[in-house]
Amino acid sequence: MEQMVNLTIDNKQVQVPQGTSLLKAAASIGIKIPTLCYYELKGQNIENRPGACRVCVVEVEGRRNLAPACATDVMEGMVVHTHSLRVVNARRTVVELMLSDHPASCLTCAKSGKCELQTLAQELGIRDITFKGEQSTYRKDLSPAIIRDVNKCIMCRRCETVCNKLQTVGALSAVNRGFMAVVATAFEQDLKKSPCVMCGQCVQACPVGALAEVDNTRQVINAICDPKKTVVVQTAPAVRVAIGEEFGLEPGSRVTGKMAAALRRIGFDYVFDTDFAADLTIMEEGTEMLGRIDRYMKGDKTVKLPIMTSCCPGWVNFFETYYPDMLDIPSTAKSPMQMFGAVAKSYWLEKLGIKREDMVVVSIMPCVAKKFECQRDEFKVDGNPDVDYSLTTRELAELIKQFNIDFNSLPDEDFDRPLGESTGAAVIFGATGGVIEAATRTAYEIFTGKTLEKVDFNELRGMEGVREATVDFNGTPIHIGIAHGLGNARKLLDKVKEGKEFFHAIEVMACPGGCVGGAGQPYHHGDFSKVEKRFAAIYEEDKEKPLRKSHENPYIKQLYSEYLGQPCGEKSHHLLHTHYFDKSDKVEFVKE
Amino acid sequence: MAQIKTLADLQALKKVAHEKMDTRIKGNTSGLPQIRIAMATVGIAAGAKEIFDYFLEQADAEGLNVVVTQTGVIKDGNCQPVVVELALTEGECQVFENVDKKKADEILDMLKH
Amino acid sequence: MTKFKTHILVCGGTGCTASLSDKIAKNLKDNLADKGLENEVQVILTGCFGFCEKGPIVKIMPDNTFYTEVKPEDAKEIIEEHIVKGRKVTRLLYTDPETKEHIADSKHMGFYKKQLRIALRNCGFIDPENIEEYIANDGYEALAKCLTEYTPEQVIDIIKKSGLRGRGGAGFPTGIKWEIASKNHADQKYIVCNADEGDPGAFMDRSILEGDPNSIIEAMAIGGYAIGATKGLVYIRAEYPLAIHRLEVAIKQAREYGLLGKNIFGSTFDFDIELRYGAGAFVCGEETALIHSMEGKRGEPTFKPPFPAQSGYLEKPTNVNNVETFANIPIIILKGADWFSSIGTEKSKGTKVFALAGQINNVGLIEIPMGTTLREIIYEIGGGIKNGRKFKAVQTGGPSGGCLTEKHLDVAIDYDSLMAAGSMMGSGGMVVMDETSCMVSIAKFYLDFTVEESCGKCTPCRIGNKRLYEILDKITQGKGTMEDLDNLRNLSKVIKDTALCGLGQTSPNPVLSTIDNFWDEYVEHVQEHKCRAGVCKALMKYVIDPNVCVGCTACARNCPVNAIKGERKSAHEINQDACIKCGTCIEKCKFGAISIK
Repeated sequence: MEQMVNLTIDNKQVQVPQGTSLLKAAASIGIKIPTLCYYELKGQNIENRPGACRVCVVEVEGRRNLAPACATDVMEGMVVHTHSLRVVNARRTVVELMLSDHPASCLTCAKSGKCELQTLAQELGIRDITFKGEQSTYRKDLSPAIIRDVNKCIMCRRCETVCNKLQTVGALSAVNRGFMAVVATAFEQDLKKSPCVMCGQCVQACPVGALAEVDNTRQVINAICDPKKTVVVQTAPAVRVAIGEEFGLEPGSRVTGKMAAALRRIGFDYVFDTDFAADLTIMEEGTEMLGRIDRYMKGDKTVKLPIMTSCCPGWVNFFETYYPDMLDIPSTAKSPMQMFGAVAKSYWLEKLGIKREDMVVVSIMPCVAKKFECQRDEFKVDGNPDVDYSLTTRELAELIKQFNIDFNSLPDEDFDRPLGESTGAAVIFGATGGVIEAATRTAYEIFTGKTLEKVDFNELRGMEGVREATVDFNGTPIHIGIAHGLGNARKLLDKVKEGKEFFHAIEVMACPGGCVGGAGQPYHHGDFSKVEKRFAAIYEEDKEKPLRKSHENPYIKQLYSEYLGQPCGEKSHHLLHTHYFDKSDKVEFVKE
Repeated sequence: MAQIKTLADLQALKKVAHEKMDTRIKGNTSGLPQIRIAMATVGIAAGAKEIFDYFLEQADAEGLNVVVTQTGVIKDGNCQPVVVELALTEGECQVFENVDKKKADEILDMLKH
Repeated sequence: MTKFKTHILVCGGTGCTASLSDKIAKNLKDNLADKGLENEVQVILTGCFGFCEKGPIVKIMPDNTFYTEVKPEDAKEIIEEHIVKGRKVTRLLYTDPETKEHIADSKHMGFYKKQLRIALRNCGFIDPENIEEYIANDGYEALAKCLTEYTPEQVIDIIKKSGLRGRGGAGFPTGIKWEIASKNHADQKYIVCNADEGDPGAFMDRSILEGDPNSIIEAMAIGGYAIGATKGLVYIRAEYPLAIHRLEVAIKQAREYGLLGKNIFGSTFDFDIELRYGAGAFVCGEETALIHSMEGKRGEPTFKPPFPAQSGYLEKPTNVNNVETFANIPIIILKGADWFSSIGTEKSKGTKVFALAGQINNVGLIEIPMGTTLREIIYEIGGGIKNGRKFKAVQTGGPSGGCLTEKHLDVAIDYDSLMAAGSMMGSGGMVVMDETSCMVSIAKFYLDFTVEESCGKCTPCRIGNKRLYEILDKITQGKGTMEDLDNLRNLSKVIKDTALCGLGQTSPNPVLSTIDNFWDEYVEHVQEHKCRAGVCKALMKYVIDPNVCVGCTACARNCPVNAIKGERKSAHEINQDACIKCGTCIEKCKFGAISIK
């Protein structure tokens, strides 16, 4: 039985289980102690509490110095003061010190208005910095997706924790000593030369502007304003359940129609949906999956299982970097975003009768790694990328604000056709387990030749980091593995590699919760319940869709009949499939 | 090398090792009586070295806790061969002249009491 | 068996080795061979004697002749005179600074008279690379006794009763630490020796490891037995090559004798030791940082609890003790808790080793019983202030400590009295300062050190100490304000109150103690732009006395920045704005007309 501990916080009695931190004990009675370095992804077993920033210090009677509330566990009979003069003075001084070594460039900072240090300074009423002095300066590091503006680093180590514990990527850790201590890559080399997979969880975690995504809004505006260009936009499924947060709506608010309306008002020529391409992905990946399973069952030794999903660019970078010996396992299907780009700049281009260089494809993604993905050479034709620019959910919100659009009073509008039509199967791509569920819905019907009556595969859903389930394909058990968060993916993959477990198919999403918890989504500041609410909204969206199986999408059928021919056929192989590269030298470099 | 497996093993090794550095350990122990043999040129010529060795051997043989050491000229102008100084306690010492083995035994006898 | 009549001990500590003591030993051996005395006289390289001011030291046994400042070329004379003729080499003897008499026996020297060497008992006496010499001096008997007569609980009980407290600085009772570690059960526990000595000028631990490595090995085995650890780790600075070498030799010899390994003394207790090298980060002396460093992680502290005794090295229960703490263990077991607790003060038992440094005559390593006063240390052991100058302050506790003054001289040193006086025991650094020391600059010196050595993990230490340093620097530049002094005090208090580990929590101590004890000096810097010690260059002013100056032009001709003007044969003048305070003019003036104001 859980042992309970009694203590007094700000003259209030509180009883909490042993092992509870003072921070949580205080929160349980409504006392909010300010924090900065503390970062928790509740339910994902990720907690950053280095006790480093010292913002959450409180006074514990009988103790010589102040105690960090995040890292101090309750003890029987403790008497705690969270806002005595001593505490407030110390807290204020600590924040002043931080500000004294922080560029005062808030007006032009990527995190302005969302910066936790800024909020803290505001809450503490800091109008002046008593202790001025030298500021530590470092080189700015630009990568295709992430900008490290290290001068702003406050050594909270949140990025380090997500990079190492959540993602097991190991690109970031603290370097240097004393005043020059900072979080950086090994040998302070460029991020793009490090094992970084561009997942961007560090950007999501960073409380200040030290880590931010590359801003592509200016290029998109230029394209829209260029009369020669036909600008096509596609939006990923997870965006529609999150962007409302940027406009003060509750997490999990579904604003698909408002978003489409906003995009149209911004001036995009065609407002399409990545969900259409998600349905297309299912056709390709599902066909590939069934083909592999079929050949495997028939004893073809050249076929490897499991087949792994390949729609997440952080995940693709991860296996290219850390599992170069398994490059033949993932599906060769491109991600929905890239399939969309390829279709837009072929099928749709031909329909419109315009030249490739006159079409600009913009994607709105819950993702930072997509910025990297769309720049990959294999997704370009004569140097012209299938997807020109990828914006995050946050960047779209900024764009909407820049264009004076009152988002909340917009009417609900539909996507344009044909590339805007999608099924519920495509929507759930935005949540962990969704891709494989969507694939299962289609694969079941093709494999068994029967109609799937119950489309909800609850056994594939959930927020557990690693999930395993067996789906009955009319007597044939299909083993499915699911992981979200690259650390969990590593666990699952190592099991497969060591031959401990067998799966027919595995779905991996780099971000916790899947794309709903993506690095390009509105900052959740360590409140993971926001991600859970988006997650729930995704399944509501699915439920309300009239069609919920990808192969039932009439425009997909039309695309195949008019243009592509067969799934995994010659044309689709050329347009919709890709191959992978060994990037393990990035890790080797660090090891040396 | 023989492994030390018991306290007795250790003590046996200690005894041997202790003997090897006995001279040093005694020198480091305060309050021990001292026998100082004058080893200047005159003394050496008169056989002081032999007497020095004799003192050492006998002290060892009898297990006497005494520091046997050499010194320069003990008495200024004293050219008597083999002068020995016996200090039972610090600061208080007796001087013996013309010390031979017999006299050495007598000096050592004084230490036994 | 050859029994050597005479033993010549040559200090083989790092300091004396730097002054060619190994060459001295070689020359002594060569000269002995020339005289055919190699079988009668033995030359031994020992650990540090402590009297480093007068090193290299050569000591002749058994007659206890203590030669100081010996050079390799003196070897011939020592052999010919002392060994062959029995005549002491007077010029190499120590001269009492007061009576001017030569003193041959170190027991009678002021430096040694008040010392009590427990932790250093074998340093400068045995050959540290010969385990048999350690065994000859009761070595490994304590371990044998523990393994054959005592239960682990009894061992812990003895250490608890002895009152031994951690010598690394904080003074936590060692027995209690062991008890806590013993009560945490795990499949594997570790006992760690913290040899990451980092205080500026401190070399207690290094000297013990260089002079008596076996005492640490034995103590770690005893500790391992007491807490139930079968593995020992020594975390030692890679910059201590000699100490590492001697430890390696000692570990090898102990293994050969079966004193490390399986079934030690026929018991069921297995124990072995490995070395782990530190890269010289001061913060790695903090036990959680030390453990992270050993694990190959970034050397930075983590919040306690969990204490290492609960979750330490590789998340196993781990007990970390300092070198000097360990050095006390075997002798406590042998002589008993009562013997040990009879030495020292009520709450601090035994002795403490200090590295005595600064403006003092006898610089070196000393070991004194707790309760000795600062006055005794400075004036009797230390031989007083150099060049007859006036005592100003003594800094104890290294960068975490504070500066004590004249009024503290009669404080009987122990953990609590030093703390009460505004300083701390620390690991044993003791720097004596005279009137030529500027206390603001001293505080700045220590802050410079902590700024450099902070791991940078927590905000107050990473940025706060830097700001303290900057304010101090501003004051020494003559640009300080009275508000700065308030800020110094306030910021210091917040850093102490909020920093994560012991380094940060104590780093403002040098500032606070100098502000408290030398407030006037701070105010002088700020209000009068004056540094009474003449250390702060920016506050110095070179002035030519027109009544003394004869107008020889020597100063003007030599001034590198042409700051001196004046007609030939008439008084010159220094342009203060141009002067860079290099001091050339003073050097060149033959008439003593230039002075610093």
